[in-house]
This record gives sequence, structure tokens and C-alpha cells, in this order.
Amino acid sequence: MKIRSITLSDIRQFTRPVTVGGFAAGLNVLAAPNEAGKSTLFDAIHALFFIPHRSSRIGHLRPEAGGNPEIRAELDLPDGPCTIVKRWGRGAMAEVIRQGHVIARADAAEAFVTGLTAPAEEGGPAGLLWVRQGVIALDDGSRKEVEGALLARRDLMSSVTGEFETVTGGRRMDRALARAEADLERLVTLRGPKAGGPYDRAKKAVESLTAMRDDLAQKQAALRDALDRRRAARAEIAQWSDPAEAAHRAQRLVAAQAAHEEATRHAERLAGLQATADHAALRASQAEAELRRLTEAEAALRRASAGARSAGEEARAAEGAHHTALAALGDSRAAVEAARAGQEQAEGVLAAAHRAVAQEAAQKRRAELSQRLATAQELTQRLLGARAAAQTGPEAAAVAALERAETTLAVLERQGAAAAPQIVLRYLPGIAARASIDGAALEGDSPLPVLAPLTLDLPGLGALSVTPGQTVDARGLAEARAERDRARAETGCADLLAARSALATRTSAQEAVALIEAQLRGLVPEGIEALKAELATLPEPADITGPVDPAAAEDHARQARATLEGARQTEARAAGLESEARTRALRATIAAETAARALQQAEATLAAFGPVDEARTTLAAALAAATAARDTARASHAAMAETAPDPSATAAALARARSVVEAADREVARLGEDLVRLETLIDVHAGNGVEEELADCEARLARAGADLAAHEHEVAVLRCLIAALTEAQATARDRYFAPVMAELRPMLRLLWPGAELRFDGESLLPTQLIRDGRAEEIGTLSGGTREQIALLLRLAFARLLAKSGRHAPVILDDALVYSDDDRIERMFDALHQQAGDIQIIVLSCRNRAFRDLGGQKLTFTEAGAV
Amino acid sequence: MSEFRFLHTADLHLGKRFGALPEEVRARTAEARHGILAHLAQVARQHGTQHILIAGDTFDTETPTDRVWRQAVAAMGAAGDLHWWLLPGNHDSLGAEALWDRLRAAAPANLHVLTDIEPIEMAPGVMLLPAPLPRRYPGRDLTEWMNACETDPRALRIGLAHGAVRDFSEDGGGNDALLAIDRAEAARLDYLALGDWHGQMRLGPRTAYAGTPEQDSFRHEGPGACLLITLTAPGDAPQIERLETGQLEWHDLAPDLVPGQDPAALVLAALPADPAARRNHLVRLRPQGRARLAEHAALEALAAEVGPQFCHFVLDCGALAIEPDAADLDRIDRSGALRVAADRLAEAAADPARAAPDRAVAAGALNRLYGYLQEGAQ
Repeated sequence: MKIRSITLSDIRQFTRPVTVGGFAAGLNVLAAPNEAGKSTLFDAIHALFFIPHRSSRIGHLRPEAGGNPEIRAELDLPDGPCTIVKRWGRGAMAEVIRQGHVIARADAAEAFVTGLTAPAEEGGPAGLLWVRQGVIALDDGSRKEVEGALLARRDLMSSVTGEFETVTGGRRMDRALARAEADLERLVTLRGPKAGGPYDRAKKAVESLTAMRDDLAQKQAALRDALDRRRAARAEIAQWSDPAEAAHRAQRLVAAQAAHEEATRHAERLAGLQATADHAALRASQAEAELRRLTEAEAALRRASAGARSAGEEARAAEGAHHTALAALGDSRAAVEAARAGQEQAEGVLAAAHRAVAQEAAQKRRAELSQRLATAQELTQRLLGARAAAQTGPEAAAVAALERAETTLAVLERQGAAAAPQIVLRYLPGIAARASIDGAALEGDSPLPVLAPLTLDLPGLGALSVTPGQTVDARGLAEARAERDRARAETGCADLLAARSALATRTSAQEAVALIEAQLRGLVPEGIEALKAELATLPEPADITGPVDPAAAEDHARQARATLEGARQTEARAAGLESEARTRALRATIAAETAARALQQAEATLAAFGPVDEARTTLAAALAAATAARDTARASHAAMAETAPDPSATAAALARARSVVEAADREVARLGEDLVRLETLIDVHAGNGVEEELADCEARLARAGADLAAHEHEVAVLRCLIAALTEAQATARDRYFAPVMAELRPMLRLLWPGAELRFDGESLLPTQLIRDGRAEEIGTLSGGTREQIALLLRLAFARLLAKSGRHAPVILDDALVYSDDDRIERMFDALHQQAGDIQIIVLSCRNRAFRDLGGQKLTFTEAGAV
Repeated sequence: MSEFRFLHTADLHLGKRFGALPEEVRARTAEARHGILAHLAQVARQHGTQHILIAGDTFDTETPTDRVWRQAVAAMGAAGDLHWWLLPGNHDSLGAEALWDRLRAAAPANLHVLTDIEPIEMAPGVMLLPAPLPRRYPGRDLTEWMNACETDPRALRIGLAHGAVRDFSEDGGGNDALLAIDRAEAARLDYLALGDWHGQMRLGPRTAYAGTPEQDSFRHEGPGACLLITLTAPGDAPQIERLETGQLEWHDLAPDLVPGQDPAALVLAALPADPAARRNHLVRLRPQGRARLAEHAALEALAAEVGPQFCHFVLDCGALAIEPDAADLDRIDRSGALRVAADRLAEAAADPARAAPDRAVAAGALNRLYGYLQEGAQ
């Protein structure tokens, strides 16, 4: 269905019939100011389709002055054009006219109209596609309107993709999902098993039983170990306590003791023989030593005698050499003294030469500085004069002011003179009398301007007073003069010429000041006082004596220093030689004295033996006797040692036998103590039924493990189920809304490239806008964005309706209230895009904004108007 | 001589705590186990015998608590008209010195602890040849000595041993210590009383495992029992009679299901019909094979309904593969997202490329979805 034209009579402000005609098949725009009747048109179209002609619900359409509202609409239907006429109130009627013939009246006509579109509250497209003013969002409006729109959407979506519940599983899906989520929540949270829940309890039970099992296993191992050790201890005690073994150990101890005693006695006898042999060997050794000492004393006497002689000779030779070295040292010291005197004299000459050079340089500097100081002082004097001159005379500004005042005055005077009346006297020839002014004779034929009242004395005639009237600006002239006088006084000069001269003089003095200052800066950059200070530091001129050739003096001094150094080295060498000679002489003297004392001692040693030959014979006899006694004792010891038992071996055997017996006793005692401890441990653990506890614990752990596994399986099952249901539901929802999105997507992307909408299954309305990969709740979007989405969605629904064979016009009464200029442009594009096969009627008070919408422009035309 | 009768039993495992069972069941199983001594005494008296041979594993561990072994000694001592012959088995071997030392010290006159390998005249003209285990795994055939053991040829010879003959070992121990299956004949035994295998089993005319008098696991079907042995003369074949002694029966049901069966009916048929008797039964239901979602749900419903009637009832569907059919999936939903989710789960559960645990999770999820929706439908 498409509307072609509509005529309103007696409807609100339209007491005279008006027609809105020329509706196009696509986009139609009625942009007019408020109160123009757009909403009236909207309500009239609504009434035409949904308010029966006999209804009294048309009060809102009736004009204030009263009347019977009437609407006539020209429509294009699939089976051809037709006209519907409806009137309410008095003379209520309804007609359907086709090709000039009334084809239905009254109720039949209403049935015809109802057949075109269902009422909004019954899900008719009006609830979905007709947007009255103020209803921006899809879920705005009264409850009835909202429900009607929902019904319309359901009806539409059902006809396109089926029942939402059927597709998405509906409440059964929600119930299953809720059950699974509730069951899962009972078991786990996001962080893991839910504290205190069955899963958590199962997990904790396993942990607790594992710890208990480990503890019991440890105890069981301890018990088994104790049993093993007790068994071993008992076996060992039995072994140690065996009587045969004990008797054997005792016998071995007795035998070892006897063997050791025998070995000890044998060892004592051997020791006696060894002592005898040792004593004889000692005596032989002593005799041998005495004999050797005698021989050595004789040799020592001979060596001492030769040594004393040799040392005496060496001492004398060394003394001579020392005297020679001493003399050489004296000579070298005298040479050093002479060289030192020569060097001091040369250094003195060199210093004098250096002083003379410095004095010369100072004199030159002093002369230069004195010259600069004199020049500077002279310049300073000139500067003072120049500065005084630079301060004298008028300022340039004062001279300029005077020039301006003089000029002004001259101009005024010339103007006055030009404007003033002139008196020209022409004396008759022969008349000598002359007119005068203030005593001054006035020549004839010469024009006299009258600038101020004057009186001419006319000899012989009287006086002639002349008043110039207003032709001269006497006041301005006086002011100019006064100004000139004031300017002149400012310059301090008598006139302008003098002032200009004085200014030139002053300017010249200022230039001189600058020049002198520059000269002074070049001459004494640090200032005169600094120059004076430097001059004061320079030495006074003095007489310069002696040679002034520093190079020759330096050369001479260097030679003197070399001579001194050579003399000193010679002296050092002589001193070294003298020292060595002295040392050798001293040592030789000491050696001679030592050799003499050694000779005396050797003589005394030999004398102690008495007669030498006699002493040698006696000592040889004693040595022979002691050697024989020693050899005899040693032979006896060797013979006895061959058959003697080893006491250390018998002692070791005895110690071992004794330790075996003692160890057996200790071991039995230790094992006995161990046994008591183990018995206690075993009694405690065995009585507590450790293995029984362990077996029980292991069985319970196995059960708890199975329980935990069951809970883990349960969690996995629930998660698997929730994932499967959620995914299927999401997929189904996407599929359900796919036709809407297919229509919506191109328009949506005119506004936001790549944007998508997510729908709610209950309201069948979008809940989220996905743009730039981010999901935004519709409720949080701006009013403009929301109204744009709502409008685009209506257009998408309209297209779906059209595809399902139900063409219905989209009527939008100020549906874009919040959209900015950029968006509204793109919305216009969307409207055009959709208007291809859908009739869209846009009503707006924003005449200027909707000027660029394009489409067919609609207007109200009064009936009969051209 | 006149005939000689005795009860042959074994594997009492006194002190076993049944930690794998829920707390409320453990007390019953433990008490039934302890009460078996008095019950055996009663059975012995009923059948006119004074001797009860326990072929090992009287105790569950080598270190039972004082309470356990003292109560056992008291129970046996209380039956003063009977002789109890205790052989150390692998669970209570001679390695448990503490246990046997204490038993010997505390034993009443009618309690005979067989810790030595030597023949004992247990009654005039009746020689008992015991083979006590020195440790848990002795590593050799401990009955070998019986061949060379000479006794009065007019006397009866009864062998008493504990261990595996073939692969009958409760502990799955190595078979390097197998008892010779022809030991009774080789050692000229009139009867060889064996312990270790908790099920009752005869290995020949003269050799048998008595089994445990009170079952302790799902491994063996039926109630516990002992054997009444009657010997008439040396060389004569013994008379062996089974006497049921167990209070509790353990059932390990593993029906192999295929889709289309009525699993609940199958299971019910295998359970005791009398609801009142069910309190003495422990059931482990481990269905195998495949089942549809509805059949799986039926099993769970059955477990929920009849389980509480039993002493213990556990349903383990871990080995039961879910094979949903179109009807199952239709019950979830004929189309839409629920059906999509169900189809995906069913596909994942049957996908051989997935690991078994992942398939099990997917099957569980599908099962759960079915259950949620069925609950809602009801």
C-alpha cells in the first residue's frame, strides 16, 4: 500500500479542506514550522486506518469551533488505486471508491480498511513503522504502544525466521542453562572449588587422607623397621650369649695372657745383654775419641804457628796501603775547594748580567707608560671642557619647537596681512606733509595693511582712525607670538638664528666628547688609575755595572759547575779508596792478634795431655780392651734374640682377646637396651593397629579419590553443557536476527563502518552496539545514536515487511531530533537507500535541516487553490 | 577309629574396616565380620564337631588393634567346648611377631596357634600338618615338607596351608610360591585345607578352598560359607559339605546393555526379590555396553528408588556408553538451539577422534541436559 494524497476537512486547525498531494512511491518530505499541521496529518492518517467512523474517539481531531472531521485518502493498492473517505460525528460515513464507483460502505468499508493493515495493538505495522512526534526509541511510548510494537516485531520475525523460542530454545533452554549454572556454582567459583561445597570437601578429604596415609605409612615403616631390628637384635644376642662361644673367648684370653708373660721375661733378659754391650761400646768410643783429640791437638798447634806468621805480614802491608790512600784523599779535597770558589764567582757574574737585562726592560716600560699617562691626562682635560660645552646651549627639541612657533607665527602674520584692509596713501605732488602713525612718517604709494586699530595723523587734517574689524585673527596671532616667545625663552637665545647656532655648537661638543672617550678607551683601556698603579710597581732607574752579556756569563757559570762536579767525584773516589784501605788494615791487625791467641790455645791443649808419646800408648790400650768387651756382649744378645718371642705381638694378641670378651659383654648390654626400646615401640604401634589404620586409610583415600574424580567429572560435565548451550543459544540468536541484520547492516555501516547490533531474545530489540570491536549497551549511548539506531531498525523492519508482501508506508514525525549535521546527512542517505521500494513519509519542523534530504516535497494546499 | 569331623574355614580378615564403603555401611560390615566367630562356633556345634581349622588370614593385618585381637581371643575362648586351630596366612604371617607373641601369651587352652612346621596330634589318631607363612610372600611351596613327614600310618593326616594353587590369589601375588595342586596325594593327606581364595572351591577330592565365611568384597558372588569335612579312615575320600555362614551378600552386577532393552527390568531380575531381605545385600551396579538417554535415565531412577532398600547400593555408569537416538534427541527438542547443543554433545560423545575422558564428559553433559529437561517436563 502506498498513499497518493490525503485531504483533511474539519480536522483541528483545518476548518477548510486542505490537501497534501503528490506523494511519491519512495521518500516524501513535509518540512514545515510548528503548528503547520504535520502532527495533525499524522493523526489523521492514523485515524483513517484505525478509528472506525462510528467511534467517538475522535475528539482530539475535532476543530475547536466544532465540526465533523472528514478524511479522504487516495491509495495505491496491489490491485489498483482506490479512494477511502471517512467522516466522524454527525453524518458519519465510510466509503471505498474504486474507478468512480463506491465498492464498500460503512462496516464493509471499515473491513476493507482493516484488511489493509492490522491495528497497532494487534501487531499492525503502524506500531512498528509509524513514529509519532516524541517517540524516538523503539521502546518509547505508552505500555500499549510498546506491547503493540513488540507484537509487531514478533509477528514480523515469526513470519521471517520463525518463533524466537523455537529457534533459541526459549524457556526450556533458559531453565536448563540456569540449572547447569546453579549446579556448577554449587561446586566451583571462578577461583576454584567453592569453599565448603561438596567439591571442596572432596578435595580436602583427599588431601587430609593423603596426609594421614603418609603419616600411617611412615608409622608402619617404623614398625616394620622396629620388627626387623628386634629380630636382628634377638638373633645377635643369642649368638653372643652362646655358652660355647663364651668359653672359647675365655680360653683364648688365658692363652694370650700366658704367652705375653713369657715374652716379657725373655725381653728383660735381652735388655740386660744389650745394656752390657752398650756400656762396652761407650767405653771404646770414649778411648777412641781421646786418641783422636790428641792427634788433632798436634795438628792444630802446627796450623796456629803458621797462621800467626802469615797474619803479621799481612797486617803490616795493609797499614802501608792505608797511608797512601789518606794522602790521595787530602789532594782531592783541596781541588774541590778551588773548584767551588771558581763556581761561586761565575754564578755572581751571571746574576749581575740578569739584573742588568731586567733593569733595561723596566726602563723601556716606564718610558712607554709615562708617555701614555701624559697623553691620557691631556685628553682628560679636553674631555672635561668638551663635556661642559656639550651641556651648554639649547636642546634640539627646544630649537625645533622654536622653529615650529616661528613658522606658525609667520603663517598667521602672512594670513592676517593678506586679509587685512590696506591703506595706500598717494601724496599729491608738491605736498610735503606726511601722514604718520605713532609718529612714524608713512611713505606714499606703499600699501599699509591694517592689522589692528590704528590712527593716522594727518597733518593739517587731523587724525584718521582705522579699525580693521574681524578680518584679522588677532587672538590667534597673539597666542602664536606668546608661544614663539615661550619657545625662544626655552632656548635661552635671542632669536631663532642664535638658537640654531648654539645648538650646532652643543652638537659639535657632544661629538668631541664621544671622540675623546674613544681615544681614552684605546689609550688606557683599564683606566688612568690602573696605568698609574702599574707605573708605581716598576723599579726606579739605577746604574748598571759589570758585563751585560748574559749568554757569556751563563756559559762561564756552566763550565765552573762542571769543574766543581769533576772535583767532587775525584774526592768521592779518593774517600772510597781510603776507607777500603783503612778497613783492610784493621782486619789484618785483628787477624794477626787472633792467630797469636790460637797459637797460645793450641799449645795449652797439647800440654794438657802431658807427654805426648806416653799418652798415645795408654789411650790405644784402653780402646782395644773396650772394643773386645763390646763385641762379646753383642754376640750373646744376637744369639738370645733369635729365639725370643715378640712381646708386642703377644701384647696385641692379649689386647685383642681381652677386647673380644669385653665387646661381647658390651654388645649384649647394648642389644639388650635396644631390645627394650624396640619392644616398647612395637608394643605402642602394634597395639594401635597401625597397619589396620593404614589399610583403612588407603581404602578411604581410594574412595575419596573416586569421589573427587566424580566431582571433577561433574564440573567438567557442567562446564561442557553450559558451553554447548551458550554457544548454541548465541548461534541461534544470531541466526534468528540474521534477516534483520542483513537489511540493517548496510544502513548501519553508513554511520559506523563495521558496526553490528546484538539483539535481546525477549524484546527482539538491540541491546548492544558493536563498533570498533567494542560492545556498548544501547542504554548508554547518546540520544542521537539511539534515535538513529531506532530509525534504521524501523527501516529494516519495513523492508522485511515489504519482502513478506506487506508493503506499508513508514511515517516519521520528527524522528531525528538529536542527530547532528554529519549524522543527519548519513541518515538521509540511509532513508534514500531504503526508499527504493518503500514509501517513506518524513514530517519535520526542521525546515532548514531537512532541506537537503531530497525526495518529494509535500505541502498543504487549500482546496480550490491553484 | 570313628569318623572325624571338623569345620574348614579361612580368611576371616578380622579387623578389616571397609574404608571404601560409606560410613553408615562400614559399621555393619565390620560387625558382621566380627560376629562370624560366634556364628562358626554355632555351626560347628550344630554339626557335631569340636574342631575349627582356620587356614590363614584370621586377621586382616599383621598388627591388628588390641581391641580386634583381644575380642577375637575372647570370642574363641568363650567357645570352650571347641578347638580353634589358627594358621598364620599372608595377611597375618609369622613376620607379625608381636601379634603371635601376644596371641600365644593370651590364648586360652582351646586356641591353638600353629606357628611351627611340625605335625600336631589335634585329636587322638588325627595328625595336623600345618604350613604357617613365615612372611607375607614366602617365595616357596611351604607344603613341601609334608611329603617327607612320617606319621602313624593308622592316623588321619590333615594338611593346613594358605596360598595360591593356580592363579587363585586374592592379592595377585607372584606365582613363584604356588602350592602343588597334588600335594594331598603326594603327601598322603586325607584332606588338604586351603585358605587365601575368598570364594569356595574344590581342587580335587581331598583339596579345597573353604572361602571366607563372611564375604568382604564384590569379587565373589553369594554369601560367605565354610566347609564341613568328615574323615572316616586314612585313605578314604573325605566328605565335604558346604555350609553357608555369611550374613551379608555382595552383588557385582555388570549387565551388558544394548539400546532398546529395559535395563531396569534386567537389573531388578538380578536383585533379591524380597524387599525386606535387601537390607542384607550390597550391590554394585556397573552397566556395560550402550544405552539410550531414556534407558540411562531409567537406570538412575531405579537406583534412586530401590537403592535405599539395600545395605549398600552404588550405580556406576562409567562403562555405559550413551547412544542417543532420534527420539531421545527429540525429547530434548525437535529443533532450535537445544537440539543443536544436544546434537553437538551426542556427536562429541561418539567421536572416536576424541580422548575417552572427553567423550565421557560430552556424554555426561548430554545425559544431564536430558535429565534437566525431563525434570522440567515432569
